[in-house]
This record gives sequence, structure tokens and C-alpha cells, in this order.
Amino acid sequence: MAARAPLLPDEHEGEWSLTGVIAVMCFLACLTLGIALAVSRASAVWSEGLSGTGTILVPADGLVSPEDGARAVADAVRRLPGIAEVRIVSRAESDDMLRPWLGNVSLDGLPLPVLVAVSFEGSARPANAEMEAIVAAASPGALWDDHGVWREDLQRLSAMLSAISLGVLVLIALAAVATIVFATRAGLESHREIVEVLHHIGARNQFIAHEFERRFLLLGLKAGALGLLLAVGVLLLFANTDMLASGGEFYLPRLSLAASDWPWLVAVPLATSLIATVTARLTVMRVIGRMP
Amino acid sequence: MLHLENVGMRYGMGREVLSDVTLTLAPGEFRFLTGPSGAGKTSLLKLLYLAERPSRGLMSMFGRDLALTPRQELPALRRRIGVVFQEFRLLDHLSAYENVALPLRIAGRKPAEYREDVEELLSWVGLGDRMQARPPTLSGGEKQRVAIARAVVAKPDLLLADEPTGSIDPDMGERLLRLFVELNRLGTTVLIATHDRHLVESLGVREWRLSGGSLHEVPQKGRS
Repeated sequence: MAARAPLLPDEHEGEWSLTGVIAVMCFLACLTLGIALAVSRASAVWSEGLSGTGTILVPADGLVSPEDGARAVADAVRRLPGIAEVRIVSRAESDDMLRPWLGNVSLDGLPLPVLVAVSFEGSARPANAEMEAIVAAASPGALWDDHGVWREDLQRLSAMLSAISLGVLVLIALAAVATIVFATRAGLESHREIVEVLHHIGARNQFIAHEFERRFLLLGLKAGALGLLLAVGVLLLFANTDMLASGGEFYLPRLSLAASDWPWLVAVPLATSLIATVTARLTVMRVIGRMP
Repeated sequence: MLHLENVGMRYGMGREVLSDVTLTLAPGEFRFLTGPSGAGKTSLLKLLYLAERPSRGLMSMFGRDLALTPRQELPALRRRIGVVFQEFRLLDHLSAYENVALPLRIAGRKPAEYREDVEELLSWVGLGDRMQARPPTLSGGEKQRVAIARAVVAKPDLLLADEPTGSIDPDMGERLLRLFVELNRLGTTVLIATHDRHLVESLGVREWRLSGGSLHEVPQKGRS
């Protein structure tokens, strides 16, 4: 005798459209999560890079030449504890940084400030107030920037994107629950005769619910895997897009996923099938519970 | 086994389809339930196989007061009852074999444990060569035999049958009646609702008659 037939008949037509809807939801969830993870990672990397560095800006409007002022400031800062490197940014580098905004025009003769890049080591670094005082004393008019404003903006943006992603994920999950409740009710209605017969000949509610659970678990896994595959394809496409992969010429952080991020994406179809299974079970139990 | 006292039943806000029904079915008893169409036979059977609840009155089954029995314990009671539904109620996507095996599957039995019993029963009701046929391809009489086999396969404590021989030729009807008698001899309490006077008189067992929703005992004549 062959394996036992399922107690609910196969429904190819309705099931494919439901699989499609759940797959799209899973795709959107994976994409949202993938982008959120990539943005969060890039923001963390950038923020970490910024937190260990600072920039001194020596304007070109002082009494001494900005190059002399920069050398004086660099010498003063080098003597401080916790300084790893002090480097005067060359004029050629400054011109390169301005080129994306100004285009390929000659910048000779423009009174550009000279930048001094400072990087720290360890946590025993001078306080901002101390840095400001030393920089101003070494070269009047020179300014110390610890990148704090950038870092705070970046962290705020990252937190906001994470919150939006979480909101979108919750909305997708709620939409999936609503869809599955609707589909389960429709399934119960179309199989009412079967459910009633099972109920009347003594099947426990859990037994009947299990039949629906099994169907929605498989559907959730199938749809989830499909959505994940599509999302992985799109994310890989993103990762290989020049601007997003390199940060582009505007010095944006690089958007990419690390190996440790992929398990989170794989968890999405598993969560989808779990949501599908639990929702189907609760819906069936509630409907059957109302039977005499 | 089964006791109803002043039981009334109505569907929704409609009129009472059963009024002040009082009956006791003792363990091992064999009874017929007769009455004209619309008298309430099917409604009474629905009450007895726990598909409906009484609107009023007391009902107890297998020593349990149903008003005090938690809902989650009802499936276990239902599994002690075999039901032959008037309209068969077979699952069309399952084979005759799988339909008959359904109560055993629900009870958690393994296929290897019941395969032989189910095949033997199907052969006994004349469907040995139709085991893999699905209900839509079976005749009315064949469906009814599958329904009867499904009701008796788990050797229930109580067998309720609603017009079990309605679509069957007289010879097969008699054969199935013998099956009910044999089950009854082995301890199953049997209640058969029927229009068929020949069936009732052929056994000479006690009979309840339903009329206008009221139940009364029909005085016995001849053998008992």
C-alpha cells in the first residue's frame, strides 16, 4: 500500500497564487533586512574610522602661509600623547578631493586651506578643548574638527534607517499573517465537508489543525526560499554595482554584506514558514473551536 | 450508555425540531428509530453523535453528563461512536480503503496495524476489488457500503446509522444487517434510523418512533 494520502486534497491553482504572494513578501523582507544590514555595517565602519581621526584646517587667510601654519600645527600636535600619525594633506590630494564638486578646472591660485590629518591610537587621546587650544596657539585661525558632527549625523541616519527597516519588516509580517489567516479561512471553507467529517468522527482539533499546518509550513518554506533567492540575486547585483560597491567618487561608505549577515537573511524564509504555520494553526483551532 | 431527559433541540432561532425527548439506550441494546420524513430522526442522531447540542434538557453518554464535559474531551467520546451518515459523507479525494481506515488513522493507529482488518472488512462488504476506487467513481450502493465499513471498522461502543440500507439491494441490505447484529453480539450498542419496515420487522428488536419531534416507544409484537 502506498504512503497515506493527505487528508486535505491538493489545490494547485489557489496554492500557486498564495505561494507567489508570500514569496513577494519574503523577497521584500529579505531585501529590507539586507539593505538595513549593509547600511548599518557601512555606517559602523565609517563611524569607527571617523572616531579615531580628526582634521585640522589651517585657513589661507592668516598672517603666515597656510603651509607654514600647517607645519607648526603638525609639530605641536605630534608632541601630544596618544597621537599615532600626523600628516599634512598635500595640495594635490586636496585638489583631488575638490574635483568631484568643481570638475576638471585648474585650482591653481585658489586660496585653499591646508588640511592636517590626525589619527589617534588607544583611548588616551587629548580632549577636544586641549586640541582646539594647541591648534589655535600653533597657528592662529586654525580649527580642530574631531568629525563628531559627521559621526553623530551618520549614527542618527543609521538608527533612523534601522527603525524604518524594522517598521517595514513588522508591516510585512502583519501583511503575511493577514494573508495566511484569509487563505486558511478560505481553505477551511472550501474543505468544510472534510473538516466536519473529521470533527464528527472524533478527530481532535489539533489533528485537523496539523493537516493545515503541514500545508502552510511547506508553502511557507517554498515561498520563503523563492523570495530569498530573488532577494539574494538583487543584493548581489547591488554589491557588484560600481557606485555601491566602492562608495563612488563622493566617498560614500561601501555597501555590502558580511558573511555573518547571510544567516539573518536565511532566517527570513524560516520565520515566514513559522509565521505561516502558527497562523494557520491558530486560525483553524479558532474556527473548529466554534463547532458544536 | 446513553440517556436523554426532556431534551429539546432547535436550529438557531427556529422552532423546536425535538421536544421533550426522553430515552435510555442500555449497553448492548439494539434499537430502531422510525418515523416519517421530517420527524426529526436525523436531528436526534446528530445530537447523539455530538454534532449538535441540545437547546434544553439533560444528556449523558458513556456515564458523562455532556453539559459538564469539557469540549476538549468530546473527540474521545466521538471516537467511541461509529456513524453511518445518511448522505455517506465520504472524502472524495481518498480511496475507499483510505476512507474506511480514517477512524483508525484519527485514533493514531499505524497503517501496518490496521491494513489487514480494513481489507478484510472491505472484502466482506463486497468491495474487495474496489479498494483503490475513489467515491466519485462508486455507485450509491458502493458508497453506502464504504460508509458502513468506516462506521464499524474501529469496533465502536455505539453505532448510529441513518438509513444505512437505503441505496442497497435487499440481499446486500440483509448482509449488512447481519454485520450490525454481529457487532451488537460483540457488545456494540446499535441504533438504526430507518423507513424500511421490512428491516425493522426482520429483526423484531425494540423500536422508538419519532413523530413531530416527539419520541415514543412502539409496543412490541411477536418475538423480542
